[in-house]
Amino acid sequence: MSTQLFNEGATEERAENARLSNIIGAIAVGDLVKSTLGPKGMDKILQSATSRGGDGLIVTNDGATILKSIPLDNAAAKVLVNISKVQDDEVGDGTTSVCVLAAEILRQAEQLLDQRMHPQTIIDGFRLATASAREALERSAVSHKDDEAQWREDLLSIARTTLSSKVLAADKHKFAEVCVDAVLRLKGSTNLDRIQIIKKAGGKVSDSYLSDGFILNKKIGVNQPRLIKGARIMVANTPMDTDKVKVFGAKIKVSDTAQLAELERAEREKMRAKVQKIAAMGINVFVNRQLIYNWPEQLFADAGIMAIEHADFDGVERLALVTGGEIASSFDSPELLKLGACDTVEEVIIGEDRMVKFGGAAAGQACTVVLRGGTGQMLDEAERSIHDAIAVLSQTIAEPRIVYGGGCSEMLMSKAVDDAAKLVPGKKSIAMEAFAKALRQMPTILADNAGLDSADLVARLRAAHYDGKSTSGLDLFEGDVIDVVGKVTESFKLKRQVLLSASEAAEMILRVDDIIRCAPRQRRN
Amino acid sequence: MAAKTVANIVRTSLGPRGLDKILISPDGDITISNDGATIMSQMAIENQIGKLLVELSKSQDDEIGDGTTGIVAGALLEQAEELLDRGIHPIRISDGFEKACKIAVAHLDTVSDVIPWSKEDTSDLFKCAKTSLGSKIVNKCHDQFAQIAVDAILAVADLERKDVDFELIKVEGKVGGELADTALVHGVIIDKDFSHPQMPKEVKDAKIAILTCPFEPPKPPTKHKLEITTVKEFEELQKYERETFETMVRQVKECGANIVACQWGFDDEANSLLLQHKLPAIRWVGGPEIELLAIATNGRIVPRFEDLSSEKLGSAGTIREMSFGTTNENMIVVEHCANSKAVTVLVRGGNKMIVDEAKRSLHDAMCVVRNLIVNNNVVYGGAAAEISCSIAVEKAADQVSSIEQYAMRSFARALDVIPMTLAENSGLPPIETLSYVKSQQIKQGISSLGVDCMDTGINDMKEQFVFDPLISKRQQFLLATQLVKMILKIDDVIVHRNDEQ
Repeated sequence: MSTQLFNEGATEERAENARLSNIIGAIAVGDLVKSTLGPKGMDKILQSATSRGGDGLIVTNDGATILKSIPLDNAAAKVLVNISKVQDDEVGDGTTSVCVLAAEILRQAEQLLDQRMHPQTIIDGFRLATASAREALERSAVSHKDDEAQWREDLLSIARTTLSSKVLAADKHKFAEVCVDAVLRLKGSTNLDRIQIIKKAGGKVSDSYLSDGFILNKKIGVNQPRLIKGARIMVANTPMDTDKVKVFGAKIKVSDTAQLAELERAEREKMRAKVQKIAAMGINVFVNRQLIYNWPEQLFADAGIMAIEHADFDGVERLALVTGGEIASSFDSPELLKLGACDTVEEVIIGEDRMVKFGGAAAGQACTVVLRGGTGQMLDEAERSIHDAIAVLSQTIAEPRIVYGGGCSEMLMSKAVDDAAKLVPGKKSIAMEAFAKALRQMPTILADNAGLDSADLVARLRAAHYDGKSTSGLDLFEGDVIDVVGKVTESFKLKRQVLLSASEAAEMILRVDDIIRCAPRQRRN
Repeated sequence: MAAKTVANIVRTSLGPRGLDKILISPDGDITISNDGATIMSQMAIENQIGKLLVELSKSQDDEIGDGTTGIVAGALLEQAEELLDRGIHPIRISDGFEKACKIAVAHLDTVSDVIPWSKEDTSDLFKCAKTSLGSKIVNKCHDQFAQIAVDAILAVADLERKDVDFELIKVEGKVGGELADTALVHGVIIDKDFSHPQMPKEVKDAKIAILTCPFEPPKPPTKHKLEITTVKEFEELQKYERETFETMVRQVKECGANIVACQWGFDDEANSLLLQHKLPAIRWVGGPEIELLAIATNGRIVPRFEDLSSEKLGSAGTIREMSFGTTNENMIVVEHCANSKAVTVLVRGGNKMIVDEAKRSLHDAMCVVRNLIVNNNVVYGGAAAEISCSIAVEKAADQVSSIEQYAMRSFARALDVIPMTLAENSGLPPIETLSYVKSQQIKQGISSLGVDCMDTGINDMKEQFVFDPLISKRQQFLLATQLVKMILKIDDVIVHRNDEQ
C-alpha cells in the first residue's frame, strides 16, 4: 500500500536505482570531457540556447568552461561540475582531469557494487588508496626553488604542459615565456587580478606579447601631452564632474538667475581650487577612477598635466601597484600622499585602439599581456588558456614542489596503491586495486586521445615503472615511453588537488542511496 | 503508513555505516546529507503525519542537536498499527506506550554512566564527539573533526554555569582544499577585505575601534531638508563636510586605535583619509560578525564617533588578510584576541556539498559535546542502550495484567528496530545479530553490549568507546512516544482544499 507522501511532482529514487543513476550521470559527464584531455585532446563548441549567431559561441578545451555551460539535471553530475569549478578556483587548471578521474573511480566502483560489495567497504578501500597515492605523490615531488635557473626551467615546463593542451599549443614556448615572466613579476602574490590581459582581434596569435610596461585601456584627455618622461603620477578616486555636497539632504534652491550664476561660479571655483591643489603636488599625470568633465580636463591641459578619466576599479588598483602610488580621494595634505612614478607615460596604438602605456614603473608588481588573434573565439580561448597557465604558475610559486606529467605521476600512484593493496587484508584491498586501475585510466585516455595504441603504451609504461624507472611517462607526440624529467612537468599542488577532490567526490556519490527530488518550481511567464 | 515511509527513508542513514541521501530542491540545488533532520526538512512532504514526524526531528535538532534520525517513532507506529489490527483501542495502546516509555527512561538512568572530564582531560568528550561524527562523511578526518568540536566547545564553555553559548562559535565554510585542511581559529574570521587595497595586510597588537556609524556625511534619521540659497552657504557646507571627515578620522586616531572595523560603508574621501592616517579599516562587517568581534576582542561597539575612547577599543594579537586560491578571495583573520572565548571553525572541502555537510556534522558533534558539559551522564551507543531498555520493558510488561501489556511488548519490539537497522546498514545479519547481543546482555548482565558496526570483534561499547549523551537518548524516547500518542488519538483528517485562483 502506498500513500501519497510527497508533494505532487516530487520523485524519489532508492537504493540500486539511485546509485545507478548517480554513477551513470557521473560517468556521462566524465566521458563528455574525456576527449579534451591531454596535448592531443579535442575542443568543444558550446552554443547557448539564448543567442543564435556568433556571439553566444564558445570554442574551448577547458573542462571547467565546458561544464559550467551545460545545463545538467543529474545530481551526481552536478557534484562533478562543482568539483571542477572548485579546481578552477583553487589551482586554475586540471579541471578536466579531476572530472575524468572521479568518473573513472566511479566506473570501477560500479563494478564492485555489481559484485555486491557494500558501498562503505568500497569507500574504506578508496580512502586507504587515496592516502597511499598521496604519499607516493609527495615522495616523488621535487623542488628546485633554490636553484634559480632550474627553477625557471621548471616553471617554463609547467607552463608548457598546461598550454600544450590548449589552442596556444603551437606557440607554447613563446607563451610559456610570457606567462612565467608575468607571474615572476608579481613577486609571490597570488592575486591574478594584477595580470591584465588585453585582447585585440587582428594580427596572429604569435604577435602577442608581454608588455614591458603597464597598459591602461583608456584615452588621454584632449590637448594634453601624449608623452611624458619622468612621470609623477597621482592615482585618484574622486569626483571630477561636479563635486556634490554630501551633507544632509542638501538641496540648492535659488530664487533668481543671478543667484544661480553666482552658485555656478562658486562651483567652478571649487573645482578650480581642487585642480590647483592637485597640480600643486607637482604631478604631471593624473589618473581618476571617475569621470573628468571638460572643464577640469581643460584646466589640467592648461597645467600641462596628462589626465586620464574613468579608469575602472581594477585599472586604478593595478596602476597603484605598478607605480607605487596611493589611491587618493582627498587632497588637503599633500605631504602625506604617496605619489607614483615611472619613466615614461605614452600613448600607444594597439590594433586600432589608443591606449596608455606606463613604462619603467617603480614598483612594477602588475603587468599586461597583450593577446592578438584572428577571431573573437580564438582570443577568448587564448585568454582562458593564459589564465589557466598563470594560475597554475602562481600556485606553483606558492608551493614550489613539482611532479612529472605525461601519465608519470598517475602510474606512480597506481603502483603505490597496488603495492599497498597487497598488504591490506579483506575486501578493502579489492577496492584499492580498483582505485589503482582508475588511476591507470588517465594515461590510457591521454594515449587514446592522441590516437595511439593505448593498451600497448600503458602496459609498457607500467612495466617501466615496475622496472624502477619511476620517472617514465608518455611522449604523446612520438608515441613512446620516455623519461619525462625536464620534459613534462606539472605542479604538485595541482595533482594533489585532482586526486583529493576526485576521491572526495566519488566517495560522496557512492555514499548516496536515495535521491529525493522536489517538484520543480513552477515558472510564471 | 506515511510515518513508516518517512522512517524508512531515513533508516538507511543510521549508524557509522549508514548511507547518504541526495535532495534536490525545487530550484535544482543539491544537498547531500546524512543528517536526519536535514533530510526531513528538505523533503517536500505533503502528508500530515509525515509532517508531524518532520517536526519531531526538527524539535530534537533544536533541543539537543543530534540523534534526530526519527526511526523510533516510525517503528512505534508500525507496532501500533499491528495492535490496532488486533482490535485494541488506540487509547489503551497509547497508555501502554506511555508506561513503557516511563520504564525505558527510568532504565536509561540506571544504565547510564558518568564520564569524567575536565579541562585537562578531554579524551572522553573526544570519544563522544567521534561517535556523533562516525556516521557522517567527515569520518575521513574523524579525529581531527572530533578534536575541533571539543576544542571549540571548551574554548567558549562557561564551566561554572555549565553553559555553552553557540553564538560564540562560528562555522565558516570555504570551498577548496580538502576536509583535512579544516581548522579551528581562536579568533574571528570576517569574510571581507580591507577597505583600501593599499592598506597593510597585517596588523600586530591591534587596537580595534568597532563602529556602527558610517564614515559618511552625517544623515540624521529624522526627515529634513536643507536648502542652499546663497554662495556663502554653499561654501560653508563644503567646509563643514570636509571637517566632519577629518574630525571622524582624528577621533578614531586620538583614541589610540590602529584598525577600524565598521558596520557601514565609507565615503571615498574618508577612505583615502584613513589610508593617509595609517588606519587600516574593514567596512560592511555584518551585524553578528561585529558582535562576535566585539566579544572576542573585549571591545565595545561604538555607535558614535564622539563616544570613542581608548578603553572601548578591542585588542587582538594579529589581524591579517588571508587569500584563497586563484580567484582573489580574501578573508580577514583576527587572532590572539583579548578574550579567547570566541572561536571560528573554517571548514574546507573539495566541493560545496561536502563543505555544507561537514558544517552540519560539526554542528551536531558540537551539540553532543555541549550536552555532555551540561550533563555528563552517558549511555552506551551501538544500540546497547536500546537493547537494554527493550529487555527492561519486556520484563516489566509481564507484570502488567491489563491489555497495556501488549502495547508495552510492542514498545520493546519497536526499540529492537534500532539495533536491527544498525546491523542491516553495517552489512550484518540483523536478526542474528540482535538475538546474539540480546542474549549476551541478559546472560552476562552487562548493559553496554551493542552492535559491532565496525566489525572489530568487540561487542562491548565501553571498550569501543561509543557513547551517546543520556539526555539525547532520553529526549529521543520521550519525543517519539509523545508523537505516537498524538497520532494514535487522531481518528479523522479534514483537509481544506485550496481555493483555486
